Amino acid sequence: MKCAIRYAALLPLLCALCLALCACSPQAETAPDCAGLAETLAASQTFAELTAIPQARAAVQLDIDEALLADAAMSLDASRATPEAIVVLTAVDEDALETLREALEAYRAALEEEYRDYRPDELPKVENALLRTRGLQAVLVIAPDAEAAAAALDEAWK
Amino acid sequence: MGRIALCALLCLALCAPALAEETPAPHALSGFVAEGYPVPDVPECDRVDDGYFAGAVLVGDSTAASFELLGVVPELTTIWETGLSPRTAESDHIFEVDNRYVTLSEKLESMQPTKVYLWLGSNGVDTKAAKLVLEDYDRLLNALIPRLPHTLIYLVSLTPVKLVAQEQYANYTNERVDEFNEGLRALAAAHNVYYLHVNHLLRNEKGLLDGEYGAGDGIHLRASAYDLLSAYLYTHAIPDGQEEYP
Repeated sequence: MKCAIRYAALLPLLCALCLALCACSPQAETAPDCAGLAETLAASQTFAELTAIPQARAAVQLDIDEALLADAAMSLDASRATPEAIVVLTAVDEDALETLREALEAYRAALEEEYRDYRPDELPKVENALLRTRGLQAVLVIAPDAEAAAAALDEAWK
Repeated sequence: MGRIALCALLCLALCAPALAEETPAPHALSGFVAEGYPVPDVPECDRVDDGYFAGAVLVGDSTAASFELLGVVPELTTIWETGLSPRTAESDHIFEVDNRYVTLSEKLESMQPTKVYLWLGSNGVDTKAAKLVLEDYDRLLNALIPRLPHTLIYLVSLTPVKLVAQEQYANYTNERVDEFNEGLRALAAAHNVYYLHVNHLLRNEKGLLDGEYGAGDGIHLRASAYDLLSAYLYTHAIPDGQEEYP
C-alpha cells in the first residue's frame, strides 16, 4: 500500500519530466496539416492560379525521397508564367527536415536562375521568397507579397 | 575571247555566293513509314492507351514543363528548358548526357526514343519573323533526323495568344502564330514527319487564346489547357512502327 502511495506521489513528477523533455524536441510542436496550412497561406493574398500537385510529384519536383515526408502540400503556377508557389512539408524526423530545407532552398535558387533572364520582372518574388522551418515543418512561399505570407505563417504557427 | 572568258569567270565568282545563299539546303527525310498515314496531317483515332507514350519524348520550353508537372500523359518523358527555341535547341550545348553537355539532337540520339514530339517556336516568334524561326527549325530537323532516321516525329503547332501578350512582345500576334504554324506544317511535309495542329483547341470565337485556358501573361497555359492538349495526343496517334525497327 505504502509502495503504491509512493508511486502515486511520483506520478506528477514523471508527467512534468515528460512534458519538459517533449518541449525540447521538434516532434512536440504539433505541425499543422500541410494542406490546411497551404490553404491559409494561399488566402493571405492574391496569387496567380496555383495548381496543387500530388505528393509523389512534389517529391520529384523537389528532388527528394518521398520517404522523408510525413505530410506535404505543394501548389504552384502550372503555367510557369510566374514562379509563384506554396510548399509545405512535414519531415519524418530532424535529419529529414534538414534535407527538406536544403531541397527547398535549392528549388528557390533554381527558380532564381531560371527567371533571371526569362522573366526578370518576376525575379523579386523569388529573391524575397519566404523559407522557414518550425518543429518538423518546412515552408517555402514564393508570393507577390512575402510580408503578408510571413504574417499568415506566424499566425498559423502560433 | 580570253577577255570574255575572264569576264564570265569573274561574274561566276561574284555570283556564286549569292546563288549559294538562294539554294535551299536539302531537307533531311525521316525514314519512318506508317502505311495509310501520309504526312503531315494526323487523323483522329480511337484513344490509344498509356503504353503508346512509353519511351516517347516531348521537347519544349516552359510551356511544355507542365506536361511533366501535371502528369497528364504519365508515360511521356518531357525535356524542357525555359526559353528553349528551335535555334538554341541545336546551337547550345545544354542537355546533359553522361556528365557532358550536348545539343538536343545528340541528347535525343542518346535516348533512342520511340517517338518525339517537338513543341518549339514560341521562343522565337515572340521576337522574330516566323520565316526566320522556321529556318532555325529546319536546321534542327536536319540535325535530328539523321540521328533518329526511323523514329516517329511529330511537330506540334504553337498555341494562340491573348492580346495582352503584345504588352510583353509587341509582335507576338496570332497572325504571326498562324504564319508560323502554316510554315511548320509545310516543314513537316518536307521532312516526312507529322504535324499536330493543336492551336484551334484553345481558341475562342474571336480567334484568341481562350481565357479559360490562357494564363495572365496571355502566352502560357493554365492547367485546364493541358487536359485538352493531352486528350488530343491520345486521339491523334500514328500507329507505332517501332517493331519494324528494333
